[in-house]
Amino acid sequence: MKSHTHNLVRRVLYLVALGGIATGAWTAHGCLIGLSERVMHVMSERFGLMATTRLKEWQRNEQRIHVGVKDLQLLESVNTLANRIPYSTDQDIWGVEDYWATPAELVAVNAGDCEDYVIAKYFTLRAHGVSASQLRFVYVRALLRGRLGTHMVLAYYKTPDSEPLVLDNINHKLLPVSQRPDLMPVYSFNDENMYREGASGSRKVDSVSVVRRWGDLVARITKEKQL
Amino acid sequence: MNTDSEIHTGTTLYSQLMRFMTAVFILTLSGLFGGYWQSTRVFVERQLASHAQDAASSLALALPVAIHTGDMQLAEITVMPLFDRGYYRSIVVRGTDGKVLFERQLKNDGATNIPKWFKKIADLKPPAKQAVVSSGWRQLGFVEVMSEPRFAYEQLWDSSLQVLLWMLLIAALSGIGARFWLRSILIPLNSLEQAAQEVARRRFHKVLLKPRSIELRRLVAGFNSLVDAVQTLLGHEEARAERFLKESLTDQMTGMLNRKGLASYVHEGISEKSWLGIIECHDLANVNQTSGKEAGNKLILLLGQAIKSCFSDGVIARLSASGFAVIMHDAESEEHIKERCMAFHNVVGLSCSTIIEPLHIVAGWALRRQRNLGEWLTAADQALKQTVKDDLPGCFFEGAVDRGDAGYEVTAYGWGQLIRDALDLKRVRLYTQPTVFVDADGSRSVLHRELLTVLVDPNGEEKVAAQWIDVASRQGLLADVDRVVLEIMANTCLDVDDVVVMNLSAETWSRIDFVENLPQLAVRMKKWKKIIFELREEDVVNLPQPAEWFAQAARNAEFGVAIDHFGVSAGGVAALRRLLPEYIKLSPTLSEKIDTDAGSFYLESLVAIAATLDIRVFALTFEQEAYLSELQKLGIKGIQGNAVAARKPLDSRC
Repeated sequence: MKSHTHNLVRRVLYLVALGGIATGAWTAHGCLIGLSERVMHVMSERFGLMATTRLKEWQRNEQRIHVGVKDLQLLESVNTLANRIPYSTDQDIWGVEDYWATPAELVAVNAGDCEDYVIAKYFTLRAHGVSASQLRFVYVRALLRGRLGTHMVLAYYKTPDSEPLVLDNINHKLLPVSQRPDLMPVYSFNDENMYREGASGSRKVDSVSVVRRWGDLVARITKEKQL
Repeated sequence: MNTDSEIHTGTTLYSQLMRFMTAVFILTLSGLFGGYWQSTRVFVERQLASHAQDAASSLALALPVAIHTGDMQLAEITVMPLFDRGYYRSIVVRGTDGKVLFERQLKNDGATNIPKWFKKIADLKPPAKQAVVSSGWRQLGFVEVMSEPRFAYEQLWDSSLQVLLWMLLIAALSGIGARFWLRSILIPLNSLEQAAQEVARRRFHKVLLKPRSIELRRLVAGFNSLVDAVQTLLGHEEARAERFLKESLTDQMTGMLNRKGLASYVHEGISEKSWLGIIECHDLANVNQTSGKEAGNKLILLLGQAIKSCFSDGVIARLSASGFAVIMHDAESEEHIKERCMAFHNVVGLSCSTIIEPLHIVAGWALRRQRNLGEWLTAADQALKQTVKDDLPGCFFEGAVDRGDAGYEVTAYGWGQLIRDALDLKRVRLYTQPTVFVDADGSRSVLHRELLTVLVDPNGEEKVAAQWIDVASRQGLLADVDRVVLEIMANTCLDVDDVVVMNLSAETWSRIDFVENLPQLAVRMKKWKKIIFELREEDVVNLPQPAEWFAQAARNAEFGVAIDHFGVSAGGVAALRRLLPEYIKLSPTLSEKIDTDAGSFYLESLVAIAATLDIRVFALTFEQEAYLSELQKLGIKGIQGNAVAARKPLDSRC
């Protein structure tokens, strides 16, 4: 987890800026299942020979999560699978202040910060049939080692007005928010509110994303899938 | 005609290039405009989306209290300041169950200057953006914002108009630029085209421009070398024709005129006071027999030299083996000629003494009067015979008693008066004589009819042109004759269906006012199908520039131009190239030489040049049918003369 000194409100407004392209439904075969050999090769070239091993191990683990398994079990499995990856700051991993890694990059480099975990969990759950409207990326203020810091978790809403469960890389337990007094939500989003009204009233995926980095991330994931 | 129409139909290179450039330009500008329009449209749509998303996100942060407490008035107060700005078509607040809690829709007042068709083409989709309203972890509902695209349409419309105006301005400027550029590029091509059209009219001019583009430069160089080649060829033909002419008019041995040369000289008009002398040496046969042909030739040459030295200001011709003719002009008196004859006898006696002695030389002299060359030669010959008969030494003058200088003056004056009176009193009759086309199978058709002017004396007797033309020429009456003939023609009441030929004197056609008034004359001559003016070759050669001006102006006024009495003046062929007449009529004197090699070569050469320049060749006043086949062999098929068709009066009564 990394700490930010920016004013939180400014940070939120900044994230509301426009981004690249959004994506639709994710494959039902899994988040990283079906990655091409070419992607494996590229990842091993970027992150060393271990990258391929890690990706294949993730694929094996992901295949063990059966499609159609009950929500809680699925959430537990995915949360645990992602949280196995060690934490590191973007500065240490990528040499930049903030970088949203694709799930493949997270696994291949075997390190990530809070956003990277959330992204990997989100796409893995989506790949296993969880609706986008049930999942939200939530910026929170969290008590980290006795002081407040900015953090991101993935919230799961069984119904729109139910109490969400939190998938977090600090507290690995899957807990309802009422048991997480250390987290104070600030702003949330997912990729389902990006639509436009068509000629006949139908809704289509919009090219304007709600968060700047989201578009960039989706573009990179799409590119990986096309390799 | 077909070829001409094929040439003149179709489009010019200039318009083809202009059309192509315009098409390319329109396509390019349309492409640019389309690209600009599309990118602007996408940009505007994104702006609308971004705008809606910003509003939704802001409202999502401001609405939790109102929704949590169910206070829709607070929700309205929160939403209305934003909605009332007019940039949103709708703002909808929904609960988590999707039920509408609060809604504001903008009524479309239609107050816009944007045409409907433009909206239909642009078809901006009003984007709806959503944000979740939450309180802590709890989702309370959603806020949906849709932007109003009216302002986007206005912006798109205004910027499209501006870009379109700029593009039109650029297109106009480029069009003007392209026009000038193309014209400057095509100048050499236009020159080439004009030169090529001139070639079609048998005028070979070089193109003097030096184009900048390599292809055009090559084209000009190729064209100019072609013109050079043709001009050289024509130059050779011209030189050959001139050489043949000279050969056919001169005596090979002495370099003097021969009988035909003398005839062509007399044709040009000699004063009635001129003397013609025939000088004969009776010793040639004797010398040939006793001393051989070489000595005989030497005798001829010495005789020629002596005549040249003694009659240096006269015109000298060799008529027979040892017979010479001398024409002395009217300034000479009888006594003067006698003195010259004596001098000649002394000179020739001395120079020929080594060949034969004594030398028997006789000379007979006669005045021209109104006689043609034949009659004149006969008179001189009779004087010569008188000399021989009377065994008189030196020379003898024809009928000195009958002649009388005063009598001559009266005659010349009488003719002048007769001509003037006939013209004043309109005692002029017009005859026509056709030029007939004789085909290889003997069939004949009339090509055109030549007008012959006949004057009538007070006794009602008709005087043909041959009788008075020389006097009229010397007394400057030819222009009056032309004027009267043209008046008669203009006043004719009948429509004349034949092509008619009129002889026009240099006194008339060299006048600037006549040339300038040709278009008006053409209007007055509208009853005539076509009039061709025949100019004499010697006039055309003597006045080359006025002849060219006249020919050009006459053609512009739709008159025809032809040359008659052709083939006896040096420079005639050059005149052909300048004037490009419809046809030429050969001088009758040429016919005398058709049966000689030099004569037929000359005629052949003339016909060849005329064919090169697309000019027809006709023969004039050949009185004998026997010549017809000879002429046809040379390719001369148009013939005028009593042998083929006699003259008849022109019926122009009103």
